[in-house]
Amino acid sequence: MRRYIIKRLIVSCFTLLVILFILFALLSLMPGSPFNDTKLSLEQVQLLKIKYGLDRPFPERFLRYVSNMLRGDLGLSYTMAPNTSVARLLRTRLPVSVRTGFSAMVTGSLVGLILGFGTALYDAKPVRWFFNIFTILGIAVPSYLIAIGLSYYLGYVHNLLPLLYDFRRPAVSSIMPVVSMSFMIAAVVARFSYSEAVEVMNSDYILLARCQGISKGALMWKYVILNSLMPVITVMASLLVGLLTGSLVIEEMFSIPGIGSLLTNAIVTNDYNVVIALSFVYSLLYIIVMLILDILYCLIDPRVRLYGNKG
Amino acid sequence: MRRTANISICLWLICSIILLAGCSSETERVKDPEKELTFGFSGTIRTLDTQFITDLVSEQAANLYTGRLYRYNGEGKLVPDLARRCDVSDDGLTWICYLRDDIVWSNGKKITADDFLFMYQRLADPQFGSPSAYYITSYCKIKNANEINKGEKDISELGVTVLGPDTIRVKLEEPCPYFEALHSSPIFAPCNREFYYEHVEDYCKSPEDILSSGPFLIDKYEPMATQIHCTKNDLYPYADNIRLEGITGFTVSNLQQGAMCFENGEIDVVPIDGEVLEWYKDDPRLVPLVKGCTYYMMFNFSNEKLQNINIRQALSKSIDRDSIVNTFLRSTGESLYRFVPAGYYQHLSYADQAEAEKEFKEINGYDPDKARELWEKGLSELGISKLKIEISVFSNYINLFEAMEKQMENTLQGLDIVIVPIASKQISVKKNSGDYEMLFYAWVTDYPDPSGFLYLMDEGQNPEGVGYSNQEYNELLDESLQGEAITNPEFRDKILLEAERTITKDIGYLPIYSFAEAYMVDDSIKFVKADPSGTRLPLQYVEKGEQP
Repeated sequence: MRRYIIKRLIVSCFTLLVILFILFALLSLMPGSPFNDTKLSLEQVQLLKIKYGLDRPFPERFLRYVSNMLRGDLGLSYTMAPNTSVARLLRTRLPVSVRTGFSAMVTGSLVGLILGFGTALYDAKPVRWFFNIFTILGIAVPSYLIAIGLSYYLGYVHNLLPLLYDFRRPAVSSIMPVVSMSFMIAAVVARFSYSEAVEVMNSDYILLARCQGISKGALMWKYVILNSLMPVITVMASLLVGLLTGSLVIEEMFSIPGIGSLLTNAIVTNDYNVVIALSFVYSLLYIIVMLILDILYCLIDPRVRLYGNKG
Repeated sequence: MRRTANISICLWLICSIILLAGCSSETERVKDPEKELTFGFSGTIRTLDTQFITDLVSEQAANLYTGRLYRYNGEGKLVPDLARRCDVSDDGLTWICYLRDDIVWSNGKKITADDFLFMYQRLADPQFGSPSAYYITSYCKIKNANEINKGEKDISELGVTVLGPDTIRVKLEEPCPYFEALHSSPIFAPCNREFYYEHVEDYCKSPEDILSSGPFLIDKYEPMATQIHCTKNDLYPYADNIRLEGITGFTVSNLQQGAMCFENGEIDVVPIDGEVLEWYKDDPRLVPLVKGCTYYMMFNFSNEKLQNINIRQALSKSIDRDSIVNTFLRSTGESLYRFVPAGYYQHLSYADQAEAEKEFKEINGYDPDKARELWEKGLSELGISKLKIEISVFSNYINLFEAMEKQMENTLQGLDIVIVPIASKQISVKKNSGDYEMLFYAWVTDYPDPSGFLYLMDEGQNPEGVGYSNQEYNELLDESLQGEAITNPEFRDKILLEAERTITKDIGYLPIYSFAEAYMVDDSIKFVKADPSGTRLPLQYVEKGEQP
């Protein structure tokens, strides 16, 4: 496994370099500059470009950026938060997005797994009926609408929870955003886990186990769930990256200082360094999550051998 | 056995993650909610470094912790703040400001003239890269500031001199009659040289790196913050006038969320706009501010067709501004028939201003019959029967312009309007390059003076041949900086009004509407008036508690 991980890391580094190059090239082609204030004269704009090195040729800027990045310097924000290091912006905002996204992932996954496997286990009409409505609504209804509904009933009508993210009460004020984001996760995970569980339960070895007198509960726990987890984990991994990188709509609605809204602001204001750094972070998170996923495959199912791995 | 161990590891990891994800510190709640104001900002607070502020939200936040030479009180009147007074020479080119002797920073050190000198140096010196240098190179032209900012002269040649610990002299290239009003902006907040260099990496990025000279101390802030907290600064010379113990600011990006926060008491003062305004239009708690932001269209005067004054006036008179405002803006907007919004001429009589308003409405007011007549005349003079015009518009305003397009095309036979959506970041590119036929533009002045609008059309502000050019107009603007205009504000306002009359009669621009934010203010709040531009609220004068 070690060889496999090392090989993946090397390939990932190369992938990230290519992504960085493409980002740099695309931003260079965009019209305008970070200094779009109409009150700035052309000379002042030129001076600012010189100050921040934006007048240098593309290859020089790119190489300088990469070498700085290797030292942990992601550059400065030009316009959104002038002279603030991008690393500092990420340090304050990334943990908020990760925390909120992870909480939504865990909450949604737990609910989804319980619902999916529970429905497969207790194959009763009312249970299936609830399952179908929940999953259809969870997938079809955008998280924004769920957030509005929760805000109205829990925040406004009953005044149970704060309507905006509050640094004085971060856990309590994160409940509604987390629940809003977790609905879709729960629905997708429930659907996948249910269909995988039903397929496994219809296989021959399960039938043999039942004939041998193993209880339904033990059957579910020891055989069905574990053998159904692989595709479910694959789906969860791809949803996780989206959640970790922040839901712009939810962040805007609850005024959460996350990286989703940071990226949007950066794109609108042409803040190149922030756009590049965040896009890089997204790519990095995706690569890391996929690597963890591969390792989890190996742990969960010993039959899976990664390339070159002898177990 | 091994498989069970693997599964256990996975479950342990998941549980740890749940615990870590849920872990966060619950911080102290506010000590005295009765004296604490919660205020809604309409965007994130990008920076508190005053010489680098370029947005209104950050300026509003900086208003809380900075002192300046002057500030606007809760009644909209300009009063001295850190200065005792400022004297101006007869030619208007030299200002000497005398600071109060009891002003101190939040670390207890005295605020001196050198702190103001350093502020001017940070604006002028290109090594700092301030995006607000235009305050001292365009608005208030300090001697040599422009050359220094271009790198042509050394910073030591800046026309600002410390005459004593409490006295500073500012020399100008040309008179600046609005010097005091301009210096009420947080951009001109003093900056302590020693503190700045001690904290240069993180200056104004966290409470420990912010030095307050104003009514409040910042105790919670990060760049691009969605939340800020400040407490009363007892060292501020006017601390006795401050009734609040603290202010918590929240970013309210979603208006419905903001309205719900207001209704359940989470936020005392919240900005509202759009559809949410409809719910509150008759509510006594609605406080619309001065409508100091103007929305108008610029003409490209190098376009032969648009050089025709009848065509331009026909376009203006074919727009039913009232219906546009009622449909899209409600009580935050007002139809605009002129260049300078009402209330900016602070030294003219009400009668003079009313007469001017009437005159401008006659020139630009909606009159489809007159519009058709002018249109036919214009087309005949140009020898054409139809005309296609491209209007470059911010993409946020497409709906509004589509409504206007219908009005104009239905009134003026042969007119074909093509709306060209552009991103807001392309506006300055288009304006500076002259790459437009008509350009939808918005402007709010950084200082509450009519010249803040009128200078937009001064020769030299737009590419040659593209912008409005009128000898008489330029002469009137020059006259407003000379002779009696320097010492007689009423005389100056009359000259500026005459300049506005000239450009309006000439249809040098096409006004559409003026706009301001509106706030919902809780019943327990005694609110304040913003400055004349409607952009800065002096929240330190807000009172919270039972109101009669």
